Amino acid sequence: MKLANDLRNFREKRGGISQEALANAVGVSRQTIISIEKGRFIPSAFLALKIAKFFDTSVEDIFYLIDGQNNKIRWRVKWK
Amino acid sequence: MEVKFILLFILVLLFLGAWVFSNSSFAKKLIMSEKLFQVTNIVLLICSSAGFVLTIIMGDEILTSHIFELLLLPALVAFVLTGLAHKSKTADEKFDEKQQSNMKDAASFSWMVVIFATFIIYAIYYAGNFSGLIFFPLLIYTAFSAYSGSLLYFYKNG
Repeated sequence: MKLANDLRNFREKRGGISQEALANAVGVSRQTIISIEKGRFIPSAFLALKIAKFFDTSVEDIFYLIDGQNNKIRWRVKWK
Repeated sequence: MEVKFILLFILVLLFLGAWVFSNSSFAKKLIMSEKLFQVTNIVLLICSSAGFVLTIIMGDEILTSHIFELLLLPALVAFVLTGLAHKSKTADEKFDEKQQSNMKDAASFSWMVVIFATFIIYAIYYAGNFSGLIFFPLLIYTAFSAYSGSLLYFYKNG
């Protein structure tokens, strides 16, 4: 299992927000955003939540698990 | 010897200045900046790599000619500026999480490199190929080069 993300798509869908603008908004360096988008750096839960809050969406919409064949791993929440 | 005292005096002035002006508007403008983080480490890498090479070439002369201190001074200035930028911030604001993670990786890497380098330097010293005086410059330049070089690599590629 690996972590993947659609961060780049979210940035582009929201009027083409630059990596620098997103980095400034969530309080990290631009290099951190670049590394997250390339899948080289796994953000902490805190940073992932800040990014999701910035895009006004849930963390799972941006970050998700993939299997060895790069398929999204989905699961159903059984209890709440 | 006088040059060493002058350089030490400059160093003390730098740290005092950093302490005094840490809450100034200038310091506040030095926000946690990606460029400052990179420039600090690039300066350290250049100075320490140059110092390492010159120590091999010049031997004891690197200490008597004060090049040792002169090469460390730009790196120390860069770190004082970094200290100014970070002094009044909370832990989370000093370095972002990727920078912190990369710094831990760089520290581990440079620790291993220094151990290996110490062995090599000692072996060469034991064979009588240079004096013990340059042990410290070689080790400090090795440590700084390994740390800053690996940090820049991990920051860009990690």
